[in-house]
Amino acid sequence: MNRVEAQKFRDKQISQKYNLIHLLPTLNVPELSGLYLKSFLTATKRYQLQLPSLIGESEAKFCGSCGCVRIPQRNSRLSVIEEVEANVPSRKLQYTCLHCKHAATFPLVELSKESVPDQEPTSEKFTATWPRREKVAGKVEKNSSKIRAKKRKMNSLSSLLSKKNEEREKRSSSSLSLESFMQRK
Amino acid sequence: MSLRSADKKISKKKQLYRPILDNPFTNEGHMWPHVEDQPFVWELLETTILSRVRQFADVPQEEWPWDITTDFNEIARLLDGTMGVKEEVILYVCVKDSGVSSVLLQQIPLLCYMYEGNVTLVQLARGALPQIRDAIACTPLECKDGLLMVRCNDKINENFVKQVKSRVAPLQFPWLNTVKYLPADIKMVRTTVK
Repeated sequence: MNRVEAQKFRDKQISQKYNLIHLLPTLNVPELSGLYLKSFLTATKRYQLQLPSLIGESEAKFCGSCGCVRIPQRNSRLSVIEEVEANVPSRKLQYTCLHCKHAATFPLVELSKESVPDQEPTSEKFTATWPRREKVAGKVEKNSSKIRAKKRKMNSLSSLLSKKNEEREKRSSSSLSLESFMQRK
Repeated sequence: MSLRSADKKISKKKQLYRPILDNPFTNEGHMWPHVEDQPFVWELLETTILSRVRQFADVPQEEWPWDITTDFNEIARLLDGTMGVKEEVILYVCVKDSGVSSVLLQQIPLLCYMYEGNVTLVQLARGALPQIRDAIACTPLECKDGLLMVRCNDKINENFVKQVKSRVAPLQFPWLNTVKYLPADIKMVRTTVK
């Protein structure tokens, strides 16, 4: 099988599995939907496919508990729940699966308050406030490569070793032991 | 692992698997029906409803010249049949505006499709949400989820409904065709006594 054929095979297999999930409500056997959904998801994983958020988001299109496709009125109920927790009102979208009674909630972001400060800065023109660098960039770049080379040289093992040796010598010379004093003399 | 192969892997991860959206059976690539002449449809909404709604700030909602709703729960209850109404409705949805939950939006076309009455689902262009919010700011209505439903009862101008309907394509979900007319397999029904 060459690459194009393999891709065709993959598309066909995946779309067949996907269609099967959607056929189940017609056949009136919601019990099988978990099995079919799992088979579809493992296939997408095997081919390393990234599903669109419309399908891939957990609990959105399929019930997270029994795996059946959400069909409003038939097997799912939609509602928005408004709650006040610690004086902060929050809104949640709730999908209740009528088949397994599993309820999934999605927080709804209240944009009416957030969008107001968002809009204000966009009406003003953006001005950069940081100080501009003077135009010596070309020169600096030339130097920087030299400096980098120098650093690289300094960081090499042999140079490090010699540095260490130098330090040790210095330390030993500054010591007040009689022996070193004698040696220096 | 070399840097190049890591790069390749990341770019492959970011790439979305598009062919799945082109599936004609599930039709997820075209969930929202095409609207012909979008500026005109928006103009219609603005002149018939949005520009006039400000004048009715002090008038109780029952006396308005049309029945409009923006509350998600009310819309959902009407469309999923719990209210037992089958009248024709037009549902305007701000699809492109930020601040509208995508999870919420993705079920709306299906909800409309499953409705037993007639629904005209109209997607609005970007920037419609702030304008709607502006228009209804002084009324008790609040457009939190980017939805605006107009009920086509005898209060509303017939011509308006006809004009909007003629410019919007019908919804298409082949996989739901048979489901729509199947008896529900739900065994529990919640009822309340008043």
